[in-house]
Amino acid sequence: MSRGERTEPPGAGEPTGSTATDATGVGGDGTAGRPGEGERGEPTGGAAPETVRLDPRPSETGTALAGLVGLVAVVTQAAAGPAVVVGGVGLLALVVGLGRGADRLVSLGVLGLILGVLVAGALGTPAELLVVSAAASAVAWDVAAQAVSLGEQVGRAADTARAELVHAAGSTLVATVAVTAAYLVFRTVAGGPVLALALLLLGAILLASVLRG
Amino acid sequence: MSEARGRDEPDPGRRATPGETLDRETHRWRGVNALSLAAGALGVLLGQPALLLVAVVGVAFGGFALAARPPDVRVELSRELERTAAGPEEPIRVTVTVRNAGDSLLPDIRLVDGVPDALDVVGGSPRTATALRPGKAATFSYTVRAARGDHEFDPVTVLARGFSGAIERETAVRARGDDRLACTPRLDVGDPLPLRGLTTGYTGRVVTDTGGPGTEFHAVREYRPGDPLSRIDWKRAARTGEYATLEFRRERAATVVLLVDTRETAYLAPDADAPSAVERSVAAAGELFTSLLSTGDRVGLGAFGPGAYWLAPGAGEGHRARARSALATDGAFAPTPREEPFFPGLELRRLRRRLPADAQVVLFSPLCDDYVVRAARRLDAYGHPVTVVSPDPTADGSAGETLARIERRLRCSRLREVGLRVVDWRPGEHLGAAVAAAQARWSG
Amino acid sequence: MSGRVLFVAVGAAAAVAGLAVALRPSLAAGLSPTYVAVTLVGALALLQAGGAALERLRGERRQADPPEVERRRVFPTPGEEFDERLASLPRRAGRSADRHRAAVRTELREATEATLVRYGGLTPEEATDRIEEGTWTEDVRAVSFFAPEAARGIPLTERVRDALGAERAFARRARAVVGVLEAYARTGRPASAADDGASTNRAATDGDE
Repeated sequence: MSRGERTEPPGAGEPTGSTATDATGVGGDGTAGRPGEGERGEPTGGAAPETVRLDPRPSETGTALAGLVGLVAVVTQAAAGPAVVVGGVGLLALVVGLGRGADRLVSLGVLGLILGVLVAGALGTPAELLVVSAAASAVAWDVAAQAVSLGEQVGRAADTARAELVHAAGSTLVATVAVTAAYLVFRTVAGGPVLALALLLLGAILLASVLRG
Repeated sequence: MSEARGRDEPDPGRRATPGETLDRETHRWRGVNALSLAAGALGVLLGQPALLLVAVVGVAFGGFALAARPPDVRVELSRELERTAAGPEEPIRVTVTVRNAGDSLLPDIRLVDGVPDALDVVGGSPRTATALRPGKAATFSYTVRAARGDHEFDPVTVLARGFSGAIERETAVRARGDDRLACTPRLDVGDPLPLRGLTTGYTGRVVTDTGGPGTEFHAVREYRPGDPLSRIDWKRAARTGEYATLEFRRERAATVVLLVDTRETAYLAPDADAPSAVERSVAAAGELFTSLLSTGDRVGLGAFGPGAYWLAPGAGEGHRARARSALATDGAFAPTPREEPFFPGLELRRLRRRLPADAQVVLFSPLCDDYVVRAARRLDAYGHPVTVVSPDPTADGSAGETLARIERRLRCSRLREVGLRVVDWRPGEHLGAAVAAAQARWSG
Repeated sequence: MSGRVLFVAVGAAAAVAGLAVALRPSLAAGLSPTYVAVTLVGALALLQAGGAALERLRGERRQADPPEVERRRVFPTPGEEFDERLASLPRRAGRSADRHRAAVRTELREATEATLVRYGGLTPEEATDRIEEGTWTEDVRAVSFFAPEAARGIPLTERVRDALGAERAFARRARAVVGVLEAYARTGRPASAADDGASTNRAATDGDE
């Protein structure tokens, strides 16, 4: 039985290797162009570049921003020992989650920060620090969610710094207004019964929940 | 549909069409009200008024999220391609500019460019996110690798949110400027294909008084008065004294139609990085077209699939140019399958009418379904000898893939049993080598 | 959904507790109504927050999922549907399960008959007979795919493993059939003198690679 020739295609037809261009994503397996067999296109000069894959992890800017704000939240919990532990673990989970693009870990991290605020409050942290901690946690929540969302839709490779910073600025503004309002309310109602404040609050929240439907 | 914030939200996988808006709630702030309530309750229970302030902060953010409305997105997009015509594998830079044409700030706008289906992005990112004040613009660019075909860019997917991020609006916007990239590979053949046997161009015996290329010694017969003197076997005459005439066989130019299987079922590939069977078929058809023309045959081209294409057999440089252009950019040979319905029975009948009586057919198909085997046999039965060049898209990584490989091999055998010739062309193999191997089988 | 159930449950518990206290006032000796109310509200709030947290942790994506435009379209590999069918065999017996199996069985049957004829040198009738009798191969699992009676030949330990394993016995046996067919295609000799010699040789190098 005669075997036909079975020459492997010469090098020129089959670009192998790769020059990694910017933004090759995590998990992208190297695709070495398309092996040419019978296709006599232009001979490729050097190695063919790899296909870019979407890297759905949050950007470095977002991670850093969330970490910074989270740090503020944790530091202001320092008045109460256990609170810092809880908050610190939360911050760690948050940063690690953002770095790896594990959004479940990010959610747990934010939850940890918030629990830290609650514990700090329960243990009698002064209102000034607690309110700042709460606001910082809320901003961290927002910045982290934004970073995760951007990573999934736009990818780490794209330049998202502007979008993240503008968004963080907006949240910070809201946080500042909230802190100021809360503090003013506190100063006004400070002497009176706690219950009155609580009922006011309860009413507001229930109303809000109902409105959201 | 567009403004509703109800339960029936568009699925995340659904895309907007140009002019349509899809609104989705992101549920980013979900739980903030409950947490505020919990903080408040805790504050009352433990007598810690500070916690009530925490609740106020939470409510503020809850209200912020509540006040969210889908942003009014009015953007203008323009796209510029470095070149709109290129050769294969060339990197082409694409630059997209987005301008806020509305009169309010867009604090969170994300774009995903509509890179054509058949192109890879090899540098940069076709996505961006930015914030734009009214009238301001931003640009981003990326590089694609050109591939055979006439590629059309799709509308850009635009995703916008307000400051709270609670509601996302999706639209699709067509970019002005360049939106097509045409890539035409050269059809030059490096080494000419070994064509003998691929086309059955031999006629019977012919006494010819012209020698030259294309003639081959065939036999000697008894001299008959009237035979040209130049064809008398003088050696024999000198030796035996008898006159005998040499006969030659002349290869007559063949009429060949190259038929490419472009049905959706032919778009198969052994893995994600390999060219599809249709891609290889088109490349092979191009090579064969040029080779056959250069040996003096008349060649035609057709597509067996949704896009109708037919080039009757002919010759000449203009003819070659037409085929080259069609194989490169005609929609019938597109790198991705067409959506239109295809009626194979009708197409076969049309082919039967169009094929010249003495035409033979070279069919390019992966042979991965049973219908194409019937079609090939039918064409052969109509009197057009069929040779099949079959790029092999099978793999053997799993039971199903192995079974498909076996079934394909069985189809090749079925065709060979009824006298059709099949060139089994494996991935990574040069077409010339595959044809040579097949010919060794046919003549051996 | 489950939040509503919780609300109802807590409400019901509160009603029962209220009733109990109304009937036996001594139960609520040291509790002030404010305290109870606030505790209830706080508990509800925590539950709701917990529900929200769980939902976030489930990670269901609520935003648009843009297409992956970076990569060109990927085409299927022949045989993907068969694998899909094997992997998604309905667990519950029923008409759809039967149809599922019948499709797989038909395809394998045709391929086996054709392979036996082409590479095993049998006539079509011989091939059909051997498949039904279970004498077309040594592999017991493959045989038992078409002829379940021959399943007795499989050792008990293996059958137990099949039953307990994630993969149904049907799928395992189907894979065994494909394995046998592959061996045939690799080493079998073509029945007819058709120019298949080199193609089998090519098949031989398939095995070598």
